[in-house]
Amino acid sequence: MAEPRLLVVIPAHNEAGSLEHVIAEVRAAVEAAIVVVDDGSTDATPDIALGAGVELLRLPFNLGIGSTMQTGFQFASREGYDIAVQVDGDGQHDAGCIPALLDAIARGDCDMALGSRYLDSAGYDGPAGRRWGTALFSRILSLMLGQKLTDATSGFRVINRPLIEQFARDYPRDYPEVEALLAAHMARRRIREVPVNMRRRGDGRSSIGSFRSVYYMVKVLLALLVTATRGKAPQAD
Amino acid sequence: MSRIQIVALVVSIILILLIFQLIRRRKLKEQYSLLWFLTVAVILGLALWDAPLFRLSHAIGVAIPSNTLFLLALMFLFGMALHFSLLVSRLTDQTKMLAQKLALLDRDLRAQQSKAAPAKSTGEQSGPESGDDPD
Repeated sequence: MAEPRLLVVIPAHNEAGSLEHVIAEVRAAVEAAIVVVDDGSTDATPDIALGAGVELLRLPFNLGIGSTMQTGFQFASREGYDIAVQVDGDGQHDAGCIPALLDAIARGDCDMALGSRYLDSAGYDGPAGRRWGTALFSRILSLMLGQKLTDATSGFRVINRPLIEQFARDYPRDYPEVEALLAAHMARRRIREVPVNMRRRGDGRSSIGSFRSVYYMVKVLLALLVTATRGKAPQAD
Repeated sequence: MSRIQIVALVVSIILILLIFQLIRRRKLKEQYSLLWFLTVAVILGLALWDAPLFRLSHAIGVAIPSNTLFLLALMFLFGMALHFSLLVSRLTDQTKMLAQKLALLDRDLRAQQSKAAPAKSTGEQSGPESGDDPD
């Protein structure tokens, strides 16, 4: 089989401050096509992407991270990429860890490699609230999936072709990380966690404030319930 | 005819004229206008002929007929709100799909343009973009 075609999807909403650095880091880490999906930025984000010579998908207005990623997956699906890597545009994810995630996929024992901050205690000390929420969702998902997960809210992940196609068709709209894991599981896809480094958000604020986080919890819990009741895909697939 | 009946009659007529005017100015789709006309017709009907309201109140055990009216109005408004929620959900979905399609087509157009004029370098690329900026 020929080398798998690799696409790095970088969702970016007003990330002009960090995007150039992220692209350089990704390029240093892997040989891959890069697409920046600009989620209706009002700053120079799209110009920076064009200047760096990567593919650019420009959403005409802000759709949220879920629909932004879905746009990237639609591009990957249409252009026939075998593997899609998600790296946030804010520089939070250490692109140097991408090869480790790709290895997990290449071994063929999983359809999604999930970058985890807490596996092997890679030494991340984010805000306490965030850690607590992640721990809660990781617990819930571990129970639902019958498999131990430590970082269910991580947006640093790699997926293979079947999941690219699934997510291009259907992907949760906002706060998609946790829900997408369950959706993958319901489609009988295998998930494997890989330890990664994450940095504290250098530029800008976390996307989740204190009031928002309550909404986040309720919304994701409800979404998990709904997804679970939709039932699993038939065994044959 | 009692005073309240006259008030109801006048209100109904004003509502009918308002809806008619909205359709004439193409601000309201006919699909909805029918629903609103029906609503006004019910108000008008009950204003002129309240016997069914009394009978219904008695049948469902409501002591004061006006409460039956409030109940019906609430149920109607609840139904409308639910209907509009569904509609907004669908429109949101459609808008999302349009935006995603646009992003892909916008990229394809750019790819074609740079193929057609390969001499132009990176400095020019943001040129055609500036035209479609919303603000």
